[in-house]
Amino acid sequence: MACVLVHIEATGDQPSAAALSALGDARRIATSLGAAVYAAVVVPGAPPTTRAGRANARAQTPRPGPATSTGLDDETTDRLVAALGRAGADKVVLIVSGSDGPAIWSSTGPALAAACDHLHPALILFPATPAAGDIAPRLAARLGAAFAAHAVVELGPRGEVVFSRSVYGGGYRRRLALDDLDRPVVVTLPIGHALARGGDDAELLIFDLGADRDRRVLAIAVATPAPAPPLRDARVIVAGGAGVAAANWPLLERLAAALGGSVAGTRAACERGFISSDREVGLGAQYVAPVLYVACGASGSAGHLGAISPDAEIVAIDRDPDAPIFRAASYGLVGAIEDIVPTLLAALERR
Amino acid sequence: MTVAILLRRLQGRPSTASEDEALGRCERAALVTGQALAAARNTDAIAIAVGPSRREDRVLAMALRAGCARAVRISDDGLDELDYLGLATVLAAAIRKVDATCVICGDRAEEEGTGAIGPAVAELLDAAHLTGVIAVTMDKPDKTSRKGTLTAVRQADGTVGEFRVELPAVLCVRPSALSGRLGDDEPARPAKGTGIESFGLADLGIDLRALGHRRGAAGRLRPVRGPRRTTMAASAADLVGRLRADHLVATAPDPASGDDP
Repeated sequence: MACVLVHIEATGDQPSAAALSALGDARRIATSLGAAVYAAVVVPGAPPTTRAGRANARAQTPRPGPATSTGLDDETTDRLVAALGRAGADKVVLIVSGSDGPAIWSSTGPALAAACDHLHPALILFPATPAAGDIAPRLAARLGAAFAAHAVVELGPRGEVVFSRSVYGGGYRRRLALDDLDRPVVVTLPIGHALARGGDDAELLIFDLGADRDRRVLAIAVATPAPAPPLRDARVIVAGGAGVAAANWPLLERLAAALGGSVAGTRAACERGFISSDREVGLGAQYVAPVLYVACGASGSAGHLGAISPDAEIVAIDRDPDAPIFRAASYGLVGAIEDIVPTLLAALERR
Repeated sequence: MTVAILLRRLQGRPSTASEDEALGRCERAALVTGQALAAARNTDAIAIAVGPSRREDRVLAMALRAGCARAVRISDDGLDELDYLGLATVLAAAIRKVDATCVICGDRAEEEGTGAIGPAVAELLDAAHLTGVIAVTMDKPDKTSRKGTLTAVRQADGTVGEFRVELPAVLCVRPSALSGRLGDDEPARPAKGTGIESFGLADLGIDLRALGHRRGAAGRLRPVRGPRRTTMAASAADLVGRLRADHLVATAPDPASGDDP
């Protein structure tokens, strides 16, 4: 049976929301292809323990041998496997990497590549996170695979699987059909919201393939959290563009607070110093996947729109009715920010 | 240590140079970062671009004005049809030819934004790589690494991390306040290079037929016909009503209920 492998980022027994979203897409594709979904979690590993022996006894290893420790205790492993099974995985593969650094190619990639050499997946999916940006393209190159970034899944009536992405400012779509290729495909998927519903009985596999980390890249300083929470997990984002005057940014803060969301900015807004560059949404900055994205005074450049999940409902507010943002938005309202946002706030307070 | 800077002209449409800007933001950051690194080490920076002269010479001229010692264009028939790995194969061959050990490229292009070229080039060169880099400095010579190391600052997911990267390496740079600025057509430094060198695939020892399996592997590009339907609201209240009807905005709590909002 063909294998669809999904790279899972997890903290302890908690898979990330982005990983669960990718797993949901993998389930849809695998069902269409008659394939099995393998959820691949790269774990640091640790010296063997008695607990690990029990885990290994349940696992199929490609290289049977002494008990392999994944660095996770049994309870954590059980909860992780159950969570991934419920989200659509048929098998959960814990891949021992020998590294606990940040998820980048050097810590994760060699072990993942070794697992791919063993499983020969036809399709390898990543949620489009910064980790995937570092790992996925190099994995694709190592496997000689085709690669599609930030692509949405389109399933045809006869089971065709196409990965599609809006490019050149929305003027074109690049479509990569699985049937047209005679090689594996690596795809990063925009973070969506549709989750699959699987069973509780995913099978656990533990791979310790002896792949060492790439020691040429070493983390030398602990990452410091930015003052604001990352935009990636925000369900509502209010983003300002160059069309929002400096004096009106507090209005966006109030609107974001009223909607329970976060404030972000376009490249132009960040370059003007209206908002910090770590809050920029754009192809050269952050990808976001909110449920609701309120774009205020943003024209709708390719670099901005390309970084917003296709699942997001975009509300465009701008004084220029011909702004490209209105072609990408689900809802539009023409007018000046300083006029509209206060009335929006008042309307939100009314029942 | 020679620094290679991979550049690509921003394209407004497929295979067509943008009429507005020459370089995307990440490529611009790569040019600034690569040139600064070379200047700090008193070594040469070599700009490399793949594509026809009518498209790529403008950015290579910018690179020469920015202080690059050499500018190399790789042009040949059929290069635009290659996927990321085909292009990376061509670039890796060019990097070997100019004997660069430090490669700086943009994190992702603005038109397609796949961000695949840098990691793929690193794989083909068997070099270290790091994406999402916002600043790079060369480390002092260290007995533990004969090849030399760089310190790279990576920004991702609202966090900042510092990494030691051993040469040879490919660093994929994104813009930040740290990466400085560069005027599009204004010379930042006196030009060191004298002109743009042109390489064909034969000069790099590549037979395009050997890359035949990488043609078309990027998928098909189709123009989008017809705009997406946008629901235009008549007023702020109308907009809020529509968002509530579609369950995108919660209904405000009833003050009479006594619940906190």
